[in-house]
Amino acid sequence: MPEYTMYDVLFQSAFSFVACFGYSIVCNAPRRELIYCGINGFLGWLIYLLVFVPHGQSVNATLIATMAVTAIARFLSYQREAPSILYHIPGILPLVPGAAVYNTMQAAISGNILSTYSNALTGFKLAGAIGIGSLLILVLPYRAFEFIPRFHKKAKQKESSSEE
Amino acid sequence: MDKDTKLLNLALDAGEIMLMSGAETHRVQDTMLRILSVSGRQKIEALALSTMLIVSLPREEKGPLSMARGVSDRSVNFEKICAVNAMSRSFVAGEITLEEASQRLSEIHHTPSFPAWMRVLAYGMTSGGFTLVYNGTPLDGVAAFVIGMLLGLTALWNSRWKAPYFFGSFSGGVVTGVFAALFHLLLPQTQIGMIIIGSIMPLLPGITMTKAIRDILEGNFISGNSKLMEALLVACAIAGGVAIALGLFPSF
Repeated sequence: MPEYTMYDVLFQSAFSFVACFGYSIVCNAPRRELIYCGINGFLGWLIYLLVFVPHGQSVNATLIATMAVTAIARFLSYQREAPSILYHIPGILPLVPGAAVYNTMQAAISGNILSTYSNALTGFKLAGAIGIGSLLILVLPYRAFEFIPRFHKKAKQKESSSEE
Repeated sequence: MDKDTKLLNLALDAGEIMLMSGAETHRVQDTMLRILSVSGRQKIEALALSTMLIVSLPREEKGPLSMARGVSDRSVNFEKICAVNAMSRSFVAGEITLEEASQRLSEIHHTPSFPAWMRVLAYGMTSGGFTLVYNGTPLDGVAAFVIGMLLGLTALWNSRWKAPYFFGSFSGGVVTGVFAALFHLLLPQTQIGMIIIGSIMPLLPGITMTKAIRDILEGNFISGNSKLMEALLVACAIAGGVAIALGLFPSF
């Protein structure tokens, strides 16, 4: 495991913002929500690293970061009056086990069966952590995220923009 | 068409746009049920599976009415999900009539997406950004940025001739593998693993996988299992594409 300094953590999280911003353009998110999608991606990777660096447990870190990101997504969904999936997907994107897919493939090519299975299982564990983490927060009632009143009323403005 | 048929058609159209844009199963069902609840009848039903929709309306006086629709096309488009959601809410609140609602839906269906150059640039941002997130060096990030833009061009080209989605992932994997290997041969200090891991991020079925697990945990076993298969198939297609591309270069 490489050593992380505070600078590394912030550098990686900043590029997580860039990447999630780009991914929300790929997914056609509405223009005025792009920045919030990026912020959720930034926070997702920041929380992951803050849990991962002291303990080195990637599954636990993924679970906790997913729960945090889902809670933020539902909070933003209430504040911005948009479906929560819009903020949820970019938030969990950095946690998706892409490295596990690559390592599994690499091990399968080189013919190392044991390493193939263990990498595939790691991928499934991480994917399961993402699924369970988001569900744990999604089952909470909607009321739980309404503790702060909306910053601004934008119902009228939203209607006019969706008619364009 | 009488009013009930129009209402069912509206619910199916809304559900079709949402399912095609990648909304979760339970959100599609909720939206269709909400639209059908305008009829004021009891025991209305709306079902969404991963590729089909069923709505039914029991009517005592004229016999029950039920409609189904298959949905084959799929992509991810958050803007359409938001728009349909807003439309269904204002329809249920009585702010717009049935005709206005179906008019609004056909407008939503033809909403333009981001321009092509922006999407290509966004693919590059995603790939390059994730290479740096996963501990790559800045040079790896630049290489992944270029590969990401090529992936965006591949995706555009695939959608131009309506390629099957399995081929889309496979060709993305091949492009990633070939250009990552070329970059590594030209600049030996780049790490080929880092470039590939970052570059395949926009292709990976992370959304499908998460939705599949959520569907299974919520009890929608049929759509959950079919989405799980879809995610596995796409991941295997990407990995196979990368593996074949790397196999072309005997040094890896």
